[in-house]
Amino acid sequence: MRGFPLFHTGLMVIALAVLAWPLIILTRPASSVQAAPVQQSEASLAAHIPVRLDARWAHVPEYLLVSHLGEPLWEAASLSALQAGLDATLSIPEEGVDLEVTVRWPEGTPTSALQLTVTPEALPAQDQVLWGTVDESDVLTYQWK
Amino acid sequence: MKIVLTFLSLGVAWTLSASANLKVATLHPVLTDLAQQVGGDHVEVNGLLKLGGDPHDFAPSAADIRSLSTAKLVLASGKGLEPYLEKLSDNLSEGQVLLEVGRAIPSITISEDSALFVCCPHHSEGSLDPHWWHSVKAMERATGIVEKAFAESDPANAKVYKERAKAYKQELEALGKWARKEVAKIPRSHRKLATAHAAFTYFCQEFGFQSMPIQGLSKEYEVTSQYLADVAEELKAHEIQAVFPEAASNPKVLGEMIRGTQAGLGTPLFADFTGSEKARTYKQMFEHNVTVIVKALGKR
Repeated sequence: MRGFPLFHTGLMVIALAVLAWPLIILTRPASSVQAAPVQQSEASLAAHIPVRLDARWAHVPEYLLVSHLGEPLWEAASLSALQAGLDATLSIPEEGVDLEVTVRWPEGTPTSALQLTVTPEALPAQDQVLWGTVDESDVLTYQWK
Repeated sequence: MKIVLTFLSLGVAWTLSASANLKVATLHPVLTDLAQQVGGDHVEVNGLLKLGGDPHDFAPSAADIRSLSTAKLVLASGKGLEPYLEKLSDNLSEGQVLLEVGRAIPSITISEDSALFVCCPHHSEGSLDPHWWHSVKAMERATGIVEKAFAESDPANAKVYKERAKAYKQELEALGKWARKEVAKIPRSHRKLATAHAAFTYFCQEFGFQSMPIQGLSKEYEVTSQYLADVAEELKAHEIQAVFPEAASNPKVLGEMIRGTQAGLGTPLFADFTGSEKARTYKQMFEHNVTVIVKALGKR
């Protein structure tokens, strides 16, 4: 064997490294693909949009509370007119929304009714009626599908 | 003395007639509770299916059938839950009335419209869900049906049955209102109720849920690896957060089904309210189910 031995050894190491590289690529374990976490809580809900709430009643109540998902959306006391309104924002998924409505009329008020109209931006108005005496609370469902 | 004895005997006779009970037999614990609610002390209820029994596997024994002989009225739930009804009817004597309480209640058939994921054609789709009592409105209707039957069988106490039925309907109405408020804590877009079997479609319809019975109707369904993979895919696709087993059933298969998905195993629900201190009455069963569902799927 002629020439400088260190030179030949170096060439051999380089040749082996060149051959080994594709083998390493082929034989290394595949990296596991991490499933993206499901973002359910808010991603599947529509974004908040402006909503107009209008309430009318047969007898003026002392107190009104409208809640959405347990959070107060509209709370009013000392009402004097036969109707009231509020501008709010609300997420409206295609499945609709449930609003919990609590209304309190003065003692002695006969069976009465409250009509709550919900008008989201770019969607038609929808109304629901809650009947009750003195102290009433129930869930009203609004759907635009 | 004779006058005193005459009055005494008249008094005894009156007391006996006033406490004379209408004998009723029931084939499901929901009906046992309902009969007691409507009848009170005026009705003697013989519940053939005891707490802890499974109505899907139950068939009355010879002793059970003998015990029916004194019942004037037999209450069945109907909608195919009691496949032995025809044979049972043959054993009843003239004057005994067999009433399928669920017959007058609108049925729900498991279909692609009522379920998110319809198991497989021969186990779910097209089958009738017999668990009508998971709708409070259906229970109110059933209360009226039972009241009418009691009044016809025992006209002397018709007024009492009417008053008791009215009071119980008011309790049910309050229960429904409470449930609506509780369920309102869950966004409507998250109301997907994944259960083992298709036993909650009436509940789903009443409270705006989509039903997902991942083991269909039958408890004997053999789970293949392909089926497990399909279920896991559906659970992921519908972003199901919890799968609810049924009380008194082994949740092992459900555990297998949710492995590798984001869904957790929920607290067991009562489909037939049998066998637990937590659900001795219909109202307790319903409150338990609503509380468990809201806790698992409520606003996060």
